[in-house]
Amino acid sequence: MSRKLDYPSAADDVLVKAAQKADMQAFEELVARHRDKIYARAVSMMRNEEEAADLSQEAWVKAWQRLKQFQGEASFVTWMTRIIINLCLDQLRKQKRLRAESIEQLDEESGGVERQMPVVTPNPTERMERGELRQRIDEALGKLSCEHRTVLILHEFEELEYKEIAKRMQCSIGTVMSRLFYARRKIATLLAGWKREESR
Amino acid sequence: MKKIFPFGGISLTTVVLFFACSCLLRSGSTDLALQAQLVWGTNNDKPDDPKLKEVDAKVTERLRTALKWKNYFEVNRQNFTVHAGTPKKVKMSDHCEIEVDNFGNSSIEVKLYGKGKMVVKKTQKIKPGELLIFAGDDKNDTAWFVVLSQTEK
Amino acid sequence: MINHETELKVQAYLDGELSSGEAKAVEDLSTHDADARALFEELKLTKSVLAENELEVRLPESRGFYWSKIQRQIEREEKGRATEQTETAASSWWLRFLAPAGALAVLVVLVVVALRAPKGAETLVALDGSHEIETPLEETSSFSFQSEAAGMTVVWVDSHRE
Repeated sequence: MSRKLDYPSAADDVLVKAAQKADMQAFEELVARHRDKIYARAVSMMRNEEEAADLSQEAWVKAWQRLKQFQGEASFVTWMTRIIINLCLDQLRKQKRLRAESIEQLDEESGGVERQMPVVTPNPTERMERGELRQRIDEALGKLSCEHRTVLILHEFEELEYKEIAKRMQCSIGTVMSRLFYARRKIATLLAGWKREESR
Repeated sequence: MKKIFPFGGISLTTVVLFFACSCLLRSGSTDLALQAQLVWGTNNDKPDDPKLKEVDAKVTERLRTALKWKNYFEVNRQNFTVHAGTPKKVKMSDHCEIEVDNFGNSSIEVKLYGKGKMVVKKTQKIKPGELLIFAGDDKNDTAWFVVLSQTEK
Repeated sequence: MINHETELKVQAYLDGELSSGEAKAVEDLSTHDADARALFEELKLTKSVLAENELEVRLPESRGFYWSKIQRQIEREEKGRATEQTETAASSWWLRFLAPAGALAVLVVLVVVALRAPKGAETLVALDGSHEIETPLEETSSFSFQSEAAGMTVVWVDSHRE
C-alpha cells in the first residue's frame, strides 16, 4: 500500500521531489507556501502590483517546466527567487527602451548627485515604529530610479555579491558599487528628512 | 495488371502539380525589394553630425510610439533586392553590415554584423508596411537602429 | 574630505568585498579620518535598517484562485506542445500517403524553378521556428518585442560591458 504524502507538513525538498514526478498537488503546496515571497520580490522590483502578479504567475509556470533541472544546489525558494528576479530584470530592460523612462534618471546616473548629500547622523529611524519604518523604507525605495532600486534589492534583500549583481544587471562591478552607494545615501537622506519634518 | 500508381495517387499528383505551378506562376518573381536605414536616436534636438537629416515623419512617429527617444536621424539608407535563395549583404556603416536571406513568402533571415562578427540572427516574415528593427545602445543615452522595410519593386 | 573612490572602498569594506590588504587600509583610514568613520557608520546603519525592514506584501488573490490561474497556464502550454507533436505525427502520416505523388510533384516544381530562376538559385527552404533569434557572441544578448500599434518588431542587442 503506497503512503500518501502529507503535503502541508512535508518539507520543501520532499515536495520538490514529488513535483518532479509530476505530482501537481505537491507543486501547488509549494506555490501556496512561497507565493507571497515571490510576489513581494516582484512588487519591490517592478513597483506595480498588477505587473508583479503577472510576472510571479509566469515564474511559477516556468518553475514547473524547469523543475527537473533543479538539482537542490540551493533551496527551492532561492531557486524560485532567481527565476522571478530574472523575469523582472528582463521586463525592466524591455521597459527601459520604451517610452516611459524619465530623463531625470540621467542625473542620478552621472554620479554627481550623491556627493551633495551630507552624512546623516544620528540614527533617523530611532523611535520609529516598525510598521511605520517599513512603510517609510518602501516609500524611499519608490523614489529611487529602477537601476538604483534593483541594485539595492539584490544586495540588501537578496544578499548577492557585487560580481553576481553585475552579471545579472549586465553592467560593470564599478557601476554596481556606484549605484549601491547612491541608493544607500539617498535612503538615509530621505529617512533623515522625514524625521526632521516630523519633529517640527 | 499491376498498377504503378493508384487512381487516387494520380488525382492527388495532378492537384499538387496544379497548385505548385500556379503558385509559382502567380507570384511571379519571389524577389523582395527592401530598404535598410541606419538611424541614430537621441533626445537632443540636433544631431552631433550636422549633415544628418531627420528620418521621414511617418517613420519617426512610429518609432516614437514604441521607443523612448525624441528624435531620429538617418545616417545611411540602402535600397536593395534579395532574390530567393541568394543572400544579400549590405554595408550600413564602417562597422555595421546586414545580410538578408529570402526564403520566399515574405520570410527573411537577417544577420546583423558588427565589426565583422555576427551579432544577432533573426528570422521572420516581413509584410509591406511593417518594420523590422535592430537596435542597441550608443553613448550618452543615444541609440542606433537598423530599420528594415519592404518597398515596392 | 575623502574622494569618491575612497567612499566606494569604505562601502566595499562594509560589504566584505575587499581583499585583506585593502580592508586593512580602510580600517587604518577610519582610525584617522572622521569623515570616513562617519560615512561608514551611516552606511552600516542604512544597511542594517534595510535588511531588517523590508515591507511585507501579501498576494491579494486567494490560494485557490491563484493556483487555478497557474494550473490553467501550465495546461495550456503543455497542450500547445502536445498539439505541435500531434501535428508533426499527423503530417508524417500524410507525407507517407502522398509520397509517390509528392515525389513526382517536387520533380516538376524543381524543373519549373530551374527554368525560371536566375543562375545560382536554390530551392526554397521551409523555416524552422526553433531558430527564430540567435545571439552567438558571449558578450552580447538580445531580446525582441513587437509593437502592434507601430507595426514593428524590435530586436534589441545588448553588449555586456566589463
